[in-house]
Amino acid sequence: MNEMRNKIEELFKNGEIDAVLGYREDPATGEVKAAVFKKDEALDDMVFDGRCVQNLVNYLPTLVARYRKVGIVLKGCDGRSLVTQLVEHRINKNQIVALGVGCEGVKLDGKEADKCDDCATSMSPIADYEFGEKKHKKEPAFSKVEEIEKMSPAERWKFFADYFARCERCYACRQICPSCYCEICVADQQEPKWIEPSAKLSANTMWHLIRAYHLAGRCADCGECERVCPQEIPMRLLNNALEKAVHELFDVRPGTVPDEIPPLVVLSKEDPDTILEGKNE
Amino acid sequence: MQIEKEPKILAILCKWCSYAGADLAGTSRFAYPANVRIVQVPCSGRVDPIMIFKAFVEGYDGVMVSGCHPGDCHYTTGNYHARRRIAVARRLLEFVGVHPDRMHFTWISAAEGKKFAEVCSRFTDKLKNLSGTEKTLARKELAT
Repeated sequence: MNEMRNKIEELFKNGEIDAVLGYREDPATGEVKAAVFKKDEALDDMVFDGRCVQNLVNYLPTLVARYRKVGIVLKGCDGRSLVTQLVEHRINKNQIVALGVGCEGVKLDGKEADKCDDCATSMSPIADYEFGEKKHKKEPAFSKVEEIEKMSPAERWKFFADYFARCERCYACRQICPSCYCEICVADQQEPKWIEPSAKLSANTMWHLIRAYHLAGRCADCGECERVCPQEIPMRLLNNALEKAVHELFDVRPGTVPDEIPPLVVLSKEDPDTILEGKNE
Repeated sequence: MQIEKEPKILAILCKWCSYAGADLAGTSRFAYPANVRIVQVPCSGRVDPIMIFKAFVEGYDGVMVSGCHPGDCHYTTGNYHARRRIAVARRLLEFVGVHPDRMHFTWISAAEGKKFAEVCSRFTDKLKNLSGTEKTLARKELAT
């Protein structure tokens, strides 16, 4: 942590950055929140530990519009998230100084977050400076997705329908997602109205399917959608299922390789027709 | 809710090959089941998976999408894009519980009227076999 603070101070002094996006511990409440540190500002209450759950990449687009150059503290998952944003040219790499920090897993409600179970990226795949330990853990796995896949179709639908029915369509998942940035979301579109705005099972199903599908090959599994969901809908399951699908179909792991173009943007004449067949056929 | 015996099928066909193939099936008088409702799109690359999702939510028993054979697309590459998108959409639908037999994706050229009729018959038969299983995703709020 001190190592990072010193580096940030040095970067400020050299004029390499104008602001740093990091985590600040509120001295009064002890809460850890995202914060912007500007030049000549004390970095004493800047922290990095298991309480730094938020994905800071979501704040970047507004910051790069305001500052010439912005430093950002990145966990492994946030780093993947940043990669997906850079690939889509939403953020200019020249305006970013990526400060990767070795992450040992974050805590949610007192226990290790679900997203950390199968995570294989302790360090951001994109980092100008690296701090802390870079641990090469296991291969990324999809243990929860595989559990669901063992169920019969009807059981699977029952499982998801129970959750979808609870959705109140607050769109917190959309607002928090760094990759959800369409100017007019398909869910807000009036003509044609693909997704009804009312919170009922059929419309909720449409919303969750299209939300997941639009993130296919782009979602880097930062887990923010699930964290902010007031109804605790397991959206990461859908995201991970598609992550697994694009890995199996196109051998792509979103966010892990800088400059890799999302698989659904490019075409390949070499794709076999067997990808169109059902898995269980 | 009363269980419909005849499955309803939505066929999304591209204008240049598959729709013409369906046309040929008609003019050549190849019989195919009347369960199929056809939607014409300019190219299979136009098929947004939201159309497929919507079809299932609105209560269709099965969805088929067909375009020109790879390499034959009128717009050169539309069907390659479609192939990737539909492959992913299919995985998602299977994951949330749509039976894999309820989706069919294929290539039919303008000369393959016979193939179109065959595909439709086979798909309808498959769906008739599924008549006992639940139509997942289909909306239940409206008594249809």
